[in-house]
Amino acid sequence: MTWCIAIFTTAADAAAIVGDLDEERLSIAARDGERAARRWYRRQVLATIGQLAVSPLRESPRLFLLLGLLGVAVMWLLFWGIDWLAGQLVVRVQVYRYVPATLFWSATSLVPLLVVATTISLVMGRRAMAGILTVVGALAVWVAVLDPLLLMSRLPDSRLPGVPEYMAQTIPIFLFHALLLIATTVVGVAMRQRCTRDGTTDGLALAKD
Amino acid sequence: MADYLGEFEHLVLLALLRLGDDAYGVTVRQEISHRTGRDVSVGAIYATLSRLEAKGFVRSRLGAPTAERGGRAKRHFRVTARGIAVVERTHHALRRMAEGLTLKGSPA
Repeated sequence: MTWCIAIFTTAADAAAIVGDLDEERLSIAARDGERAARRWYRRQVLATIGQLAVSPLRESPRLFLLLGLLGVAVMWLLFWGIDWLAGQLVVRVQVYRYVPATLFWSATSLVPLLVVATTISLVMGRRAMAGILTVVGALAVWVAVLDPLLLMSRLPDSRLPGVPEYMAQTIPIFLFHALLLIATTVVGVAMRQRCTRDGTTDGLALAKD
Repeated sequence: MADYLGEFEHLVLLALLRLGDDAYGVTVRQEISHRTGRDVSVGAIYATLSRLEAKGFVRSRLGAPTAERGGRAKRHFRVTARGIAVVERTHHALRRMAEGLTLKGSPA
């Protein structure tokens, strides 16, 4: 439980929050019974995760809007840059002798996602999850609105895919990319928290993100 | 521009002032719930306390771990001088805004 809450805040805050929840759960169990305490606990955990995920967005909406746009723009630029480099590698080193072409191109297409998610998890501190969820939201807007508009401007009507066909192609890829972004951020946040001591603002001022 | 408090920030700071040295997540939540009838989540309290701490209105320290909390420490909060000043400023602004107003339909 601490781990689940910790990815949305600092490790020290997560421990204090889970301690508070445990303490109140015990008193509710003594007063109203174990079943009521379990129900209260589940509701509190969900509400707490929701609050911790959303509060950074509410505090600085412009920052997160910018982050969403920047995240997608950086991924797009990295995608084209890495695509060009990978093309050069294929021509000069003949990579296909060592790695199957499908694996090679799939791996290169994932690098921009890994770079963006890792950067956000290391730079944004306790707001990393809110940051990556914003980027996923911006990516959803790209897939749902901008990408179809680009396709319509580039392809003749006869070659345009139908809506069900487009959705069948893009939704699984989008979901995979969204999961990869979130999973990479979770791993990055967990690693950062292992390396950084979270602290309080009294006495020794330790790393407080 | 001078700082003012949002409504929930105001409630949380008042709860901290009422609770004094005993202010931590559980007591702050219970104090707000008891006095206002609002059922707030622990997450909402901590998100607000984090924000207030970042603004310098609140300081925190970790207490000793206890068994009923699964060996986890309490995070105690207290209001700083800046926090007290902003509460006073917000109260003053609210008093000035409410001065001379008679609210129709309000209970006698």
